[in-house]
Amino acid sequence: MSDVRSYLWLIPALPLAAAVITAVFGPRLLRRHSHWPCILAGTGAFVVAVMAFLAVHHDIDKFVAFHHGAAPAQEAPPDPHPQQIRVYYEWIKVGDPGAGRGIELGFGLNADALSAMMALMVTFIGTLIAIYAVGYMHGDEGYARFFAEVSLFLFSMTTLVLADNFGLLYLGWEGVGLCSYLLIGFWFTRPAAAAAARKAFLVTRIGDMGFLLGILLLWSRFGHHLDYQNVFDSVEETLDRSSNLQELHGWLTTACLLLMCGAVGKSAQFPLHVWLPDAMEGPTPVSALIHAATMVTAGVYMIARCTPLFMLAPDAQVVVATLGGITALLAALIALTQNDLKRVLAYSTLSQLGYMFMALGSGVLSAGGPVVTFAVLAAMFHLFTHAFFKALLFLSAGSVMHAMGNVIDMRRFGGLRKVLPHTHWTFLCGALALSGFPLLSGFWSKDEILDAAWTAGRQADQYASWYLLLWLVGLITAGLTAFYTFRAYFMTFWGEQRIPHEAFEHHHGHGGHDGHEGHSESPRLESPPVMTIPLMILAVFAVGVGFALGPTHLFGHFVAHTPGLPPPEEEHLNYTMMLVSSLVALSGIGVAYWMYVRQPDLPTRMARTAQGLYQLSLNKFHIDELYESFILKPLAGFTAFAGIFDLRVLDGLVDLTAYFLRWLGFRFRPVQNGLVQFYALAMVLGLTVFLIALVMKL
Amino acid sequence: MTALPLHYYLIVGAILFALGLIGFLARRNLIIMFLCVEMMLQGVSINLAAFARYRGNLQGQAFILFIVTVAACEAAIALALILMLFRRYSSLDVSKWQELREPGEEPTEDIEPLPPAPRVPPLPHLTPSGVEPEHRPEESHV
Amino acid sequence: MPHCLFSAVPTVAEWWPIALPLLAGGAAIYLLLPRPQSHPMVWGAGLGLLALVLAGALLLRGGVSPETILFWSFSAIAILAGALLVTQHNPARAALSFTLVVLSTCGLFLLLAAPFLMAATIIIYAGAIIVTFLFVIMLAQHPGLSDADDRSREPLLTTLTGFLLLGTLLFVLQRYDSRINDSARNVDALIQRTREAAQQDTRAAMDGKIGTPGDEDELFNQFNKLFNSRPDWKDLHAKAEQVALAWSDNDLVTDPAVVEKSRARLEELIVLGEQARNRLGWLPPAENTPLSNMSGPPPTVESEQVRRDEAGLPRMPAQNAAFLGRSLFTDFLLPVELGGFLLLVATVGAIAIAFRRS
Repeated sequence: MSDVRSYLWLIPALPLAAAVITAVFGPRLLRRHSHWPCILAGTGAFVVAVMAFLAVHHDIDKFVAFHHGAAPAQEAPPDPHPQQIRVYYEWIKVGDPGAGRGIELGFGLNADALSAMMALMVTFIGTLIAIYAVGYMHGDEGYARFFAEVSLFLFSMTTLVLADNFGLLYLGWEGVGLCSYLLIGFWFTRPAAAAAARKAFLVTRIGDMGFLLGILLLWSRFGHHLDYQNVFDSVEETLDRSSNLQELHGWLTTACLLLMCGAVGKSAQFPLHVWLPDAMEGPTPVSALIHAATMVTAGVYMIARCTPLFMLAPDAQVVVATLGGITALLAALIALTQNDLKRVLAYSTLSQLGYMFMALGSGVLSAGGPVVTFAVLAAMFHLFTHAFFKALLFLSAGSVMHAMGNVIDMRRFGGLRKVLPHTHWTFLCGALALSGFPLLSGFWSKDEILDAAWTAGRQADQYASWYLLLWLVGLITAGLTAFYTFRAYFMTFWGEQRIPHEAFEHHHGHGGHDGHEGHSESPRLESPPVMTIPLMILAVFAVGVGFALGPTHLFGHFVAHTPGLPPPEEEHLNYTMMLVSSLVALSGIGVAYWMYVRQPDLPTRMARTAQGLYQLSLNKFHIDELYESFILKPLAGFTAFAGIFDLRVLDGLVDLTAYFLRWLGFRFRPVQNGLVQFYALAMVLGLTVFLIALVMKL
Repeated sequence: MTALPLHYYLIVGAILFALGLIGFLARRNLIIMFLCVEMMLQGVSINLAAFARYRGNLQGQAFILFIVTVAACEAAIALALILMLFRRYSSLDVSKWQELREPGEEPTEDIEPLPPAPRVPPLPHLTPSGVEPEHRPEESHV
Repeated sequence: MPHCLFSAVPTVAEWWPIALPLLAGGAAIYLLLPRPQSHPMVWGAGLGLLALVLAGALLLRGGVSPETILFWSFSAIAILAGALLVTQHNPARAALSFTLVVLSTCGLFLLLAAPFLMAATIIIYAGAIIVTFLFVIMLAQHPGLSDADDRSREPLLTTLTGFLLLGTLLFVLQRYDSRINDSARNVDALIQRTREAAQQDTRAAMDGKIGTPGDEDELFNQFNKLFNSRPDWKDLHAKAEQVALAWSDNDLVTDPAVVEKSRARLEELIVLGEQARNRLGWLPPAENTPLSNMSGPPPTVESEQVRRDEAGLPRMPAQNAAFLGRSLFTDFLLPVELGGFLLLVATVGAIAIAFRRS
């Protein structure tokens, strides 16, 4: 519909306006009400996103009806892959782009199936989390700053998702990186938070470098275009009619690998995963929004968007899948021993992101066009569901933290079922979804991923056995996921009830108390409704959305109509896979129950016996230390050397010039000795020399 | 009969000028320095007179008169200033005035000592007139 | 365009007559400049006299005549007195040496036809200025030996600088002399030949003195070549051509009064030669510059328009004072008035500066 096309710009523009208003008027004028611009803008963007979604859905329905003959006879067949594109502003135009010798960038927004789905999810979850944050950030000094930054983040993320060219995508990319930095380091007076923000920004920057190189490589090698449609078309064209296929294929693979670098950085895959656990220094709503639901999924979105490129470069795809597999396993192993609740959730995010990459890498063209689409759909579906249940888990953990007076070490509290009833139930829902408990949302999406890997393992031309190995890794990781999730759950909500003393000092009178630790009765520590209501909404989605969209293939049918994806074929549910993964999940939950509820001292004994492995996992496999000694220290040394070089040698040279001139001047000082006759002699001598020169005609 | 060539006079003027220049630069007595300046002016006057003669013009001689005038004024003022300077340090040494040197430089001082003053024989002591000299009765032979 | 005198680096042959006396003189002055431990005077004095003699012998040429002897003596006294002034310890004696310098300079003024200047200089300088100096010497006495009198500031450097400057000036003058001298010598020789020819009695003898036409050595040929050698003699060349033509004219040869007429032609030639000689060292006239003639012939006149005496120098007025006065009060009125004003200011200033407020 042309209506929606005109209003697409509202989706990024409303949060941007909210950001500006909050930044300008927040601290003085709005103060405690600084959240209103953000929430209103988020809601407005959500409404427009729904309209766009409906418009695309309508177009897809028309196409389906046309091909089933149920639509009225029309002249032209509707577009199988509908999208709403509108270029609002021509930003950069250099050279002659039409003739292929220039750059053209515009502020163009594109709403097709993939973008509409992403926009919907981003705005919905963003708004919910903003409402949650009203309660969480209550009374904080930087209240207005927080909501300004969150609004800015929403603007960047929606720009990223709705962009129709690589340039605008990169703009959104950098924008979310910036907002992530601002929000992680929100309490910047804490050195740990400032360091974590810096780390996040710098590590993602490394990935962004590769990303930019990939974009430029695509621009230079395959027709000078920057917008998706033209790039994909020209890549296909160039490869079709080229005689030098080998070399061009090499360039394409290189470009895809470089693009993957960006995704590796932003979505925290191995080896650039080190920033995500440290990013938990930020406020919990930030962790939920950025590091669970939206920003880290940008990499997945980007690779899904570039499927037409990746499916022509199977070498790059296998690298993507491998990195995903490594990340999933690594993160799961580390999460087994962490004592910080948020850290556990952070590593679980890493693990689930690894799953998504594994899925994206499994969509090899040699297994058939539909397999590509299926794999991409699996990744996007998992992204979708993961957003909901991970956000839920994070917000619940935030609620726990809020109630416990900012204590998040699981060893210091326990048995909070009775104390925090609402939080307990929402957390349980999220944990079940994450573990892949049968029939909940995580189950469906994880199952599809395993299915994709299995299919690639069976039907791919190259690397088939490797994909099977990855499938096995995914299965094992599923079990580990269930285990550590429920370990965290049992440590927090079961067992002997312990409440740290900070809970009572920090508590600002939600229900009145006497300020003494009570074991007999449950004190009123539950979070306010403004926090629990979003939790409940998310819990409903976490539980139900998988079932609603997965087996019914509603999600799949919708997103499959994204331009660039090969047409899908009818799906069949793989019951064997479902059975196997259910068994794995349930056994993981069972082991956790036995170790942490039945035999509470078993974990410590096991840790003592397997001390080496335990320490390795607890210390995150020393990856940070490795980076520190092999990369950071040499760089720091080089920086120090460069600094000293600049100070001593370069500055010294400059100073030397000055010193030399000064020295020279000092040599001439005794000429001015105050004796008149000496001066007169100098004058006469000069005159004589001049005369002699004149006479000799020198 | 050929006349003396012009440049003979110019040579004499040049020699006087050069001698005056050396004296001005080398001598430290203020008065002798100014005498050397006057000698330089004399050399220049000879030059001017020679040119006037060999040109048949009186302009050179008029110029010399002005030189003499200015020399007279200059001598008057200069000598007055010399007197003032002498009153300051009671010395006519031009090297005593070196305060306008570069700050941080040492003042230029003379190292070689002067030769000792020649011993002036004592003037004969005359008895004052109108005063009866002392008598020494022992020395009289009366 | 005047000749460029400085178009080549000098050769040793050119400058050794200057260098020897200068070296001797420089050494003399250096030795004689006052020092705390001064050298015995005999060396300096000897070297100085040697320098003077060498200068006289090498640089000055010309025959013996009263003018030359007077010039010699006045110059020598002036230079000796100047050297004495520079090297004297005692300031009073130095003032007296300066008097001697002034007196010799005035002698030179007399030789240069400036008697009024001589008188004025003696009166003002030797009379007034030196007396003032002596008064100041009396007032500003330093008891005993003084640093000022017995030391010199940088004797070596100052002597070197002064004599280097002097050498440059003398070199320039020497060059001027040699160029002019050669030309002057040539012209004088030719004039002498023409005179000899004019003194002959017969035309044939004159022809014999002149030489055969077409010959290299022929008089008219030589004159032509001479007049062609300098750009400011070019017009004389045309006139000499005419005289030559008139000389070999048949009408002249067959005329009964051939000797007188021939002699007249030769006289014309002599006149041309003397004009040429007088043009040596005479600057070409300036262009269209209105200058008064109250001080004598202005610089714009040609050399021939100036009245000259037998020696070839322009005639100077015998009533020197009157003409000088006329020149001063017409051409130089403003400087005269300013000079008077300057004297007034100097008087007031000197008194104001030196007045001791008791």
